[in-house]
Formats: sequence, C-alpha cells, structure tokens
Amino acid sequence: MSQGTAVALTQYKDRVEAEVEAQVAAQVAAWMHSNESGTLDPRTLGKVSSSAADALALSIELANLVEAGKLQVNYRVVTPSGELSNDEFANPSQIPAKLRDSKAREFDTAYSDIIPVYRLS
Amino acid sequence: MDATAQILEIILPFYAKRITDPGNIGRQKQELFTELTEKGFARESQILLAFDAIFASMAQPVHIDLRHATLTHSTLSIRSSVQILSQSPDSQPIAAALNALTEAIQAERQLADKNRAEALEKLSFIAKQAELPASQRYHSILESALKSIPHWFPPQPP
Repeated sequence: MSQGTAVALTQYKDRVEAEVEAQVAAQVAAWMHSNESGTLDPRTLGKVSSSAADALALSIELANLVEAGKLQVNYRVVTPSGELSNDEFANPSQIPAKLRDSKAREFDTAYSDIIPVYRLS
Repeated sequence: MDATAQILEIILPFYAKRITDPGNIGRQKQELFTELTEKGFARESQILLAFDAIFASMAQPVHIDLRHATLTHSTLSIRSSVQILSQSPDSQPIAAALNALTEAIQAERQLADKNRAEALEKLSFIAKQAELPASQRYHSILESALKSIPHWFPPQPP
C-alpha cells in the first residue's frame, strides 16, 4: 500500500468515525428525551445498530454520559424466563449466587447473562 | 506492559471461556468485570458489558473490519470478526486475533482436555483459512466451523 493510499484510508476512517459519533449522540439524545422516567435496556439499541462499530460507538457514548453524570448505570440479571431481574446492583461483582425471578423462583446467577441498565440521573 | 496488552490479556481468556464453557456467562462476566476494574479499567469493563448486550441483540448479522481496528474494536469483536473471513481480502489481523485466542485457550488450566482439543482444532482451521486469499477459502466448511462455536455469532434473523 502506498503512503498516499494509507493517508487517504486514514482520512476516510476519521471521517466515518466522526459521522458515526454524531449519529450515536443523536440516537442517545432522542432516547433521553423520550424516556424521561424510564430505564434503557441496551439490548433495545441492537435494533438501531447496523454494525459492530455502531454498537461499540453506542456503548462508548453511554459510558461518556455516565461519566458526565447524565446517566446512572446499574446491572441486572436475565432470569431463566428471559426477563430482567427486579434486583439491581451497582456492579456485577455484587450480584449474589442466587436470585429470585418475578414468580419467586430461585435461580443460579452464574448461568445468567448480566445486562447494564441505564436511567437518567 | 501497556494498557492495550493488559486489557487483551484479560479479555482474550474471557472469550476463550465463552467458547469452551458458554453456560457460565454470568460468572464469567462477573470475573471479567472484577479483574478489569481491579486493574484500573472500570470504564472499559462498563463499555464491554454494554457492547456485549447491544451486539447480541442486533437483528442483522454484522461484521467489523479489523484492518482498521483500534484496541477496543479488536478485542471486543473477536466473535464477530470471523464473519468477514469470506469477504475481506486482507485477513491477517483476524488471523492474529485468532492465534492470540488459541494461545489463551492453550494456557487455560481449568479447561478439560477434550474441550481444549476441540476448540483448538476449530480455531486452527479458521486461522489457517484466514491466512489464505479470500478466493481460496473453503467458504461452506468455514461457515460450518464458525457456527459450531457458541456465542461467536449474534442471533440470526428469523
């Protein structure tokens, strides 16, 4: 690859990244305006992501908003029936070995996925 | 060791475990979060868990081009990177990522020999295919091998 091609590729990559960043900011802002009292399950963002780069950009933007104090993040567990647990934890290491689902059935959290959940601060 | 190497050292065994022991996802994510946080990568651990949730829920199969990968792209997208093997003309970075994953599996002491051998066999095949020009790859066999590795593919559309 020539040096000129490499420079052109880098410029193209930078431009694409800037466009993605702007799109991500717009998506998160739209969500924040439409969910003032709710919580955001990031799995819903999978429907608006068309690439892994999109998904990553959204993840980074969410972390930025948490750092800026605009969002809070807690962690919930996916129950065996596919719902999110009612219990929330400040970080995954606080999740106990056993939890109960919405029907009070106990399940082992070691085998259950962990999802970060966001809400407005 | 720089931050990139440190994060890779933590994340690659995580993905190795997801291949060989996919059932323990909760425990593995707890361990990953704890280790990243203890080593000063709390932000990265938060991003990783969010990315994983978003990526796993995407409706369409996706791929990412590791030729222009940053640290975060390359480490987080191992499970998706294999999807471009049949498309990308230049898959050396993918081969490198797969080789790193192979080394992580080899170093995993808690892995049963049978599972280790099976995982290494699949990864070896994929890595060798990745080093070939796209026109010479066995696409159908490759796809079959990749799909046999749990959690490397996002859910397929109905």
